[in-house]
Amino acid sequence: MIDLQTVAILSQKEVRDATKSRWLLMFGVGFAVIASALSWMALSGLGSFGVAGFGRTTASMVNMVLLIVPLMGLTLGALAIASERERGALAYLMSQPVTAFEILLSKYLGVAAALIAALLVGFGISGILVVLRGGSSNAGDFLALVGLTVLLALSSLSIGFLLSAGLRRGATAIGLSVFLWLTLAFFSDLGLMGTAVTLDIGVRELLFMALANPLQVYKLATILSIKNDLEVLGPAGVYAMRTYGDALLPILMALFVVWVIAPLGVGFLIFKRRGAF
Amino acid sequence: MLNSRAGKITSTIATLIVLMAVGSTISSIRAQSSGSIESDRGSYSTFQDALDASQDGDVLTVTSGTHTGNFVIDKSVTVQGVDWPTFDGGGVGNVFTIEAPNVVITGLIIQNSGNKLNSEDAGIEANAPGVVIDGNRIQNTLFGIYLKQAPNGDIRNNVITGMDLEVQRRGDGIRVWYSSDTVIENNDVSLVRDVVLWYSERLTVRNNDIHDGRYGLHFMYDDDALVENNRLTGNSVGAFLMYSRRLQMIGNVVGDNRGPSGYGIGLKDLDDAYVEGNLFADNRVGAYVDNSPRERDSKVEFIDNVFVLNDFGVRLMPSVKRNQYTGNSFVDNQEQVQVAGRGTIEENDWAVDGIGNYWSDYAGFDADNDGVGDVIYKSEKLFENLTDKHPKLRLLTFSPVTQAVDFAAKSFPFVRPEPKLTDPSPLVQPGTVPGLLLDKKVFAWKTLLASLAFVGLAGVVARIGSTKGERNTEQKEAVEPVEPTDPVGGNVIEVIDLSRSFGDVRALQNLTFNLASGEGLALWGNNGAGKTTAIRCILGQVSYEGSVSICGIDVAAKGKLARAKVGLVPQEISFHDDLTVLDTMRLYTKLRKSNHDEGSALLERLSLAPHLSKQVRQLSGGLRQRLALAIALLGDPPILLLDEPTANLDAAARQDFLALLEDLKAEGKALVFASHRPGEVLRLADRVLLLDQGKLVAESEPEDLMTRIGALPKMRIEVGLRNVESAMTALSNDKFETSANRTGVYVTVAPGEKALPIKTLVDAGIPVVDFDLEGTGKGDIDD
Repeated sequence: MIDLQTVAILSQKEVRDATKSRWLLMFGVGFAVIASALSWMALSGLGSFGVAGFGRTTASMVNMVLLIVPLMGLTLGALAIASERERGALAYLMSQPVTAFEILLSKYLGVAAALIAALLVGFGISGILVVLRGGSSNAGDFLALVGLTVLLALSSLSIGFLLSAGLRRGATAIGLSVFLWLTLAFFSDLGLMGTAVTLDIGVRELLFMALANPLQVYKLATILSIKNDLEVLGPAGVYAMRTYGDALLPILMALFVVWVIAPLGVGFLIFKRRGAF
Repeated sequence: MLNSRAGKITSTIATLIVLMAVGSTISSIRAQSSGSIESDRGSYSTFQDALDASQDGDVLTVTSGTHTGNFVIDKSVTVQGVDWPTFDGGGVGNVFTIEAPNVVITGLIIQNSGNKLNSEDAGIEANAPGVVIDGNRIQNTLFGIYLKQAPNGDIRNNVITGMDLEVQRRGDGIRVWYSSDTVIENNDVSLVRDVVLWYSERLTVRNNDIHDGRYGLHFMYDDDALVENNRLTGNSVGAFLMYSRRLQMIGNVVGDNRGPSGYGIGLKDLDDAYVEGNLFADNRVGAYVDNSPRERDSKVEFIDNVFVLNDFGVRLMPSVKRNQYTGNSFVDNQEQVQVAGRGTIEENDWAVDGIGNYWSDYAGFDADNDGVGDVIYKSEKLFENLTDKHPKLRLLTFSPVTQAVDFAAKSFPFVRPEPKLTDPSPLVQPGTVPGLLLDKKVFAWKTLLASLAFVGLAGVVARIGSTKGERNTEQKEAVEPVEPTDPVGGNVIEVIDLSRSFGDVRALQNLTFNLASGEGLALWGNNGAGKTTAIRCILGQVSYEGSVSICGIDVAAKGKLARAKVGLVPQEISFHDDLTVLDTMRLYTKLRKSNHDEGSALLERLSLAPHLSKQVRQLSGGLRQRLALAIALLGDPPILLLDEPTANLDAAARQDFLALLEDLKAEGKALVFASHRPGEVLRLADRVLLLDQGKLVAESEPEDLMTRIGALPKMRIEVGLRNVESAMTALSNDKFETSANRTGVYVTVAPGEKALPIKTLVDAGIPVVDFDLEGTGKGDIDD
């Protein structure tokens, strides 16, 4: 039985720790600056054409989100347990009347809240800039982008927690999380490109292989939410639309939920087994 | 039989009566008219009567009312509406069919034609030249206006809205068929299939707003047409222009056309097409060019257009040649120019007379400020090149890997693709299309509100994480007090056959012991003996074999409940160093479900009250241990576990801390502690477990153990050289272990018995000059 009061107390502590983390500060400021700059530049010169809506800016932000947000989630998640384990703080915490699940859940909720807050600041500032700059923003697109980015952050955080659950050194956790980020953001797609060209695999297989990467799930879901179709992604996008139609977005969202819950669940099993040491 | 025949007759008569009644009703519906009709011939109650009585050149003025029927106008009359009279086709056939030339229809609402595609039911079908259809509202008709071999027509200022059907089942908003020299101007056309303009020359299509259909404009075999200042938005294709010569497309807004093919404009088999000053925005493909021009001595010109935020700015089939692009702006299209398939587009001109185009991805410069970049523009992105050849790779569009691939291509020339196109005179500033906007600018207050809400939410999270936030959630009362201690059989800890392995290493083997309230138990042994492992097992922090119960609670099954009855003071505590003493205490008070008063009392008792506002990092080692002890005592647990609790303390702090622990023990706390210090063991322990490599070697009284390991302290008593021998005899007689040392003797003493050897010597009449207490080398004693 989860003691929600304990979870709330520890989550609050985690939020406090996370908001003082230099990693989060660095990422948060970086994200806000880049998002704002991107919105600003995306509007530059486009206003005179009447096509400077946020929906268009959104499309150009997808790429940036894919690059930065997973790095934020993975590193913060990877540090969450390993660094406390290294300092001995986790052992002290686990000597208190709390369960391993309560600790893991609290840590996740706390770090997630801080991470989401950092993202919201970035989106908020860029949104205000867009509106004040005269961009004819679509609030629905904006909310969809923010919501899906939060999901991407949560899934990255879950994967980071999975890494962290089995490690006892912060430096190792950071190193592995960066490597995993490179894999998700670059290596897997490069592999996909190579495989698609050399083995001449079909669009169906290509689509399925891509969806094994949560970053691609995010990309498809975001484009689908904003543009209402995936034809911009070529034959594989058309295949996805024609095969799954209106069910596609729910399918992508379900995949996202799996990417949030599954790594966290496996991470919990490892954490419970490994404990504080 | 007779009855049967009679029945049939009756049935037949009844059927006839019903049919006559229905016919009469239909005919009455079709003849219905209201409102008034004035013509040069007089006033009429029905429009049909007025029409029948009219002559060429008459003006029929229809004032309001509804006129139902299918009207055939076979005289060259003007039908003008006042106060929007409605002409309703009743869902059958054409509403108006014009068979006479130069008919004018203006100011009417025309609605509800038939909906049969095979009979091409229309609001207005004209089969004669020179008709003028001006300022009408044509709604819910299959075809809106249909000119069949009706040249020199004039269709202007009409609002045409089709039927709410699937797009394939709709008719065309306007269809011009073998009707040259027609002008289509200032119309608003929506919810129709296409606007079809076929087999007609010298058409003028100007200032129309055509939206939410399939083909905004569809030209076939229309030479010398002018398409000017129209808005073609939200269609599947903005305009498909085919098999025509000298078609001019000037100053149009073509945007958001994103259907299955999704072309802003499509040019197929066009010769000498001229496309100037248009805005192509947010289409799937801005302009698609296929086999245009088709004739050797013709060309296609794109001049001063803006292609912005399309998926593809221009898509060219590889066979396309003799296209000229000058003064155009390609702004942030996902792919500026695409070659649809394998092949090149090198036989097209991307600059004319030294004027190229603006490319938003141009990375050159303009040192001489002549508006033309000093470095040629080359479209040579590797990812684009790959996707042109392998379209399925477009799935990776927007992924970071696309930039990585392009960056690699720029950095390593051997993977750089052949340029798709080269603009020798790229412009450094985008062009403008004055007055052309895809969307009206609307202040996005919803987005502004959402953005402000996001920043506010982030502020809330930051506040939750702040110390202030913690205060707000301070717990005033213990929510779930620790259950009262009710040890089974008087023991608060029972450990049976406790074993723990790390791989092949047995850190603990079959450890068994128990402990009652008020009892002190020391775990003694070298590093690696298993002391800390035993403490971790008792806390349920690691898995183990055997059984551990605390106050009757099985630690393996209910670790959380068991831990509520234990306070831990670790050797080196890791607090949240930036928290103050008070905030740290608050955090653990809530976590251990204690209450504020108890926390305050503990801080007072442990002399931490003067340090409440200090950050933990500012505390001395002794104060940190006191804080740890204060936290351990929250909730008044019956058991304290201490792992080398004084290891990092100086002598004075150690004495203070041990005194505190002695008091707690006296109050009934059970103490389990690991230690290397004999003094600690002798002061706090009632029993000692001697561990070696995970095994329990011995369990004994502290003094016995100290003796066994040679850890009891020695007293050096100075008696003078001549008294040494007699002193040793007297002490040996009283069972003291002695040894001579020049002018004195060494005596091994147990704690609490330090005065006895002095007394023995005094009783024996041996003068004691001085005495001193020395350690044993196993650790300091009572220092």
